[in-house]
Amino acid sequence: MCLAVPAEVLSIDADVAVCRVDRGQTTVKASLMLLPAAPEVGEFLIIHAGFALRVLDREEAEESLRALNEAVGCPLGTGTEE
Amino acid sequence: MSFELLEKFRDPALCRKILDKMESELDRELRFMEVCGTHTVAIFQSGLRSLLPEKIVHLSGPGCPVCVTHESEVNAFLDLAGHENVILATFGDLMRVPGDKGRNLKKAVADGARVKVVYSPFDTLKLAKENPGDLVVFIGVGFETTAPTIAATMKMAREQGIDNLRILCFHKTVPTALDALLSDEAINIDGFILPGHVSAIIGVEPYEFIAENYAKSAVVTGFEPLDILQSLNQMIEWRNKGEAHVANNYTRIVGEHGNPKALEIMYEVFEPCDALWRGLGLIPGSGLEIRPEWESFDAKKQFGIEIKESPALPGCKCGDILKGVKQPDQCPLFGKACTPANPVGPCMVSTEGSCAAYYKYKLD
Repeated sequence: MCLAVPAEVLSIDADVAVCRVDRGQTTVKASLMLLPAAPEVGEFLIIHAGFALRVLDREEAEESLRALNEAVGCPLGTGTEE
Repeated sequence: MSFELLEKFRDPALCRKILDKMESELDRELRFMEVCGTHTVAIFQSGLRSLLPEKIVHLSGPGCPVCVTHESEVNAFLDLAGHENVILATFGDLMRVPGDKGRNLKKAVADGARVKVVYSPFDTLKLAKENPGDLVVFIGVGFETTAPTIAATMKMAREQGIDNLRILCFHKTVPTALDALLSDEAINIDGFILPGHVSAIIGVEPYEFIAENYAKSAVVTGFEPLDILQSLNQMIEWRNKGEAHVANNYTRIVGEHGNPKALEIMYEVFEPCDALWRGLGLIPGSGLEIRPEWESFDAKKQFGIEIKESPALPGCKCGDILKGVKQPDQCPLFGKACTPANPVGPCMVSTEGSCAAYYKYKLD
């Protein structure tokens, strides 16, 4: 039941966002009623059953990737170069 | 933000490095349970299940909403399906869940019941407006991820003056179920992969009892391979040091205190109650029921529905599987009498059920 893929906000109208799922043509509508603050176009949302639950935090995503690389003893980005 | 950034959480070479690190540091068995059904599917779909070190024992927990819906709850909505002037609205997952005597919603539809599959509880508002002479009853299953969406829908219905929407409320809460699992001495779990989206609502604090009271580790985790591997890696490190912690490894989505607005709306409409879980039985305080101020929405009260213990389906081991006591292929029905085409138990019905995932990815 949980849609785990973040969706990109394409437009917002009357507290409802139209979002693109992955890179495809599929769009979904999401009520923003449960979010503490409205997102901006281009941000990514976690959507469940037609409601946005959270806005994805880019800085936290980058920080956790950095921590992951450190955890295995290599600087950021070297994982993909092998 | 870009999709490229998110895809870095699938980096195969980094996954390999973490797997190698885990292999070298794991000198004892680690029994971990992932709680969320979406994690169950992610672990199989990404191939992680076959890549993990042999000393890691993977268990699927009670985090699939369909799987934990109690037999008597299933019978309750199947009984309601035949009721005059009732349109049942449901997520598609519940259509094939078997009740007693082989009943399910698909068969009820064939017998003339009006059942509407919806993508969102929000869709029930339109359905109710279009059918003013009927009662639209939404089957509310799921955890803290889903409950706020239904609470928000009820608020919108009240604001719009829609008076023919009812909710059959079977919501359950995750931390109380984990407490019940950990207090059962027959269940042997070293650590939990905690659900990402439930945690986006409730935050991290409600899980801290896992380390404080039971000295077990648990990590709030995302759904990409690196999320899952890093959480397992952390739990191995803590175990080797003789430590237990609860941590948040999904900070890009989960804040320390969750989503306060969603929690506020959820608890404005619902309050805690005792609940029956399939396989786990009665867990005090583990359910959500509609508050008296909102009882005009309450289908249980309107139709006099009582949920009580009932015999489990004969031969079905879903209860033991949800507790991590048995693996799916240890059920005598698995792959024989019980298959995705003809499911006997709910763990085979839901695409997020451990039996369905095990069948699809292990047998194919």
